[in-house]
Amino acid sequence: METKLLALARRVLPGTSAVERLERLSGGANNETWSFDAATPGGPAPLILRRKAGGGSVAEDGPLASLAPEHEAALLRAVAPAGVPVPAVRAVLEPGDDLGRGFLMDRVPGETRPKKLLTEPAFATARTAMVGQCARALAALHAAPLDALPPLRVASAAEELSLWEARWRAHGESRPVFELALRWLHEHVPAAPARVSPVHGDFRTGNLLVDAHGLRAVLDWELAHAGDPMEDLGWLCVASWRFGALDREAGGFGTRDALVDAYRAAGGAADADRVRYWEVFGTFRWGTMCVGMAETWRSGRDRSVERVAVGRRASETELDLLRLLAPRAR
Amino acid sequence: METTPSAAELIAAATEALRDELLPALSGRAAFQARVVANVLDIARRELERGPAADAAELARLRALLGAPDIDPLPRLRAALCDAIREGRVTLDTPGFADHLWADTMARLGIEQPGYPSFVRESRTAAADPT
Repeated sequence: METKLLALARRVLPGTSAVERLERLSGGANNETWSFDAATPGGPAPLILRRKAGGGSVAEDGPLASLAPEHEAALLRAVAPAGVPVPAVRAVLEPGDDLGRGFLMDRVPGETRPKKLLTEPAFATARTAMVGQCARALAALHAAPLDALPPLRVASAAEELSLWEARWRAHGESRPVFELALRWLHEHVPAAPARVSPVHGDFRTGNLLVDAHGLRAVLDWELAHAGDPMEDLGWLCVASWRFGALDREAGGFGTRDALVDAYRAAGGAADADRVRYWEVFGTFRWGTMCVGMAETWRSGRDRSVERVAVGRRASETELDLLRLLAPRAR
Repeated sequence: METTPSAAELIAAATEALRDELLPALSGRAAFQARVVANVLDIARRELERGPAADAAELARLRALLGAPDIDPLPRLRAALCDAIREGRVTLDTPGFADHLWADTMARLGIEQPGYPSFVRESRTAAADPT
């Protein structure tokens, strides 16, 4: 691994003499993330290698398949000039690199761990800036012309719902709250948006890299697709990403209203009803993903204990769905 | 007097040893995984302790809600309720339906994720305003 990384680093940064501080960061099931420094004549260059985990994952095939790493890299390169903060892509892996499929990017200094971001005094200034910064990043992304981007799957709200419902049904679970949510989602499918936009697909606390001044980079673009831009705002408001800051609906750092206002101030056409639709959708979607992780464990594809543990978090999304759809009389 | 440790007690003992003795000796990824293991064991123990009562309460509510006193095992009743929701025969206007969903979800979360912020909030609200 280290020898291959050295060759790769030399391709990008001629004169690199060594690979230092190599470590694998915990990441998703589909991607491996490696952090290292390339020792260059000008000093250490902090880098990240993101690549497909060995063999890929069966569950990610099909209509909801995630972006190919080559396309993810192209997307990062395409949205950066539009004003979306992303790490600079240094190289896309080639067969000669013998490292599989993936890409090399700069390691941006900062923090992604939600509890730290949302509670530590060091990030107090960052927290007040986050709503505006996230709204501007999203408005810039959503305004990017699709024909200048790598190919993204396009899905209307109705199509997205049928895809996620199919994934839910495939698990064969009988859970009344999920059934109620599906019924509600079918009855409230929004009309086509004024403009079909590039959508990040996983824009949430945990995938946002933050320093003391706020948002530095938006990470993990593998779920990007084209659709209703309000999906990104709704997903950011899903209660699971508030990490205890329950009343700051937008990622735990701002209110839902503040996010909508800031998005409008950034030139985006926000629609609070759609945001709510996608928040309900997102809560259902995360619940489905939780059950899917238990299935990944059971199938033997990934036997890590975290997987099976997340399987018992679907009930969290059931409570959040009830809070949204059938709030108790106060 | 019972002296043979129950399954729940065995898990409690294992979790205690893991948290108090093993975890302090670990760091990094191993420590993270050990914490996940302890959490998983906690869920299993609480389900052994409280799962049967939650199941019995769910069964009773489902039978009343569906007017089906004879349908047995719980999975069949749950599936029947799901069918009724999908087909629009049971809605949030159906008496007892929302109460059932709340009662069951709160009972399951108390077993699975009692620290989850939405659960903590709803538990407090219910305690402050028991209507």
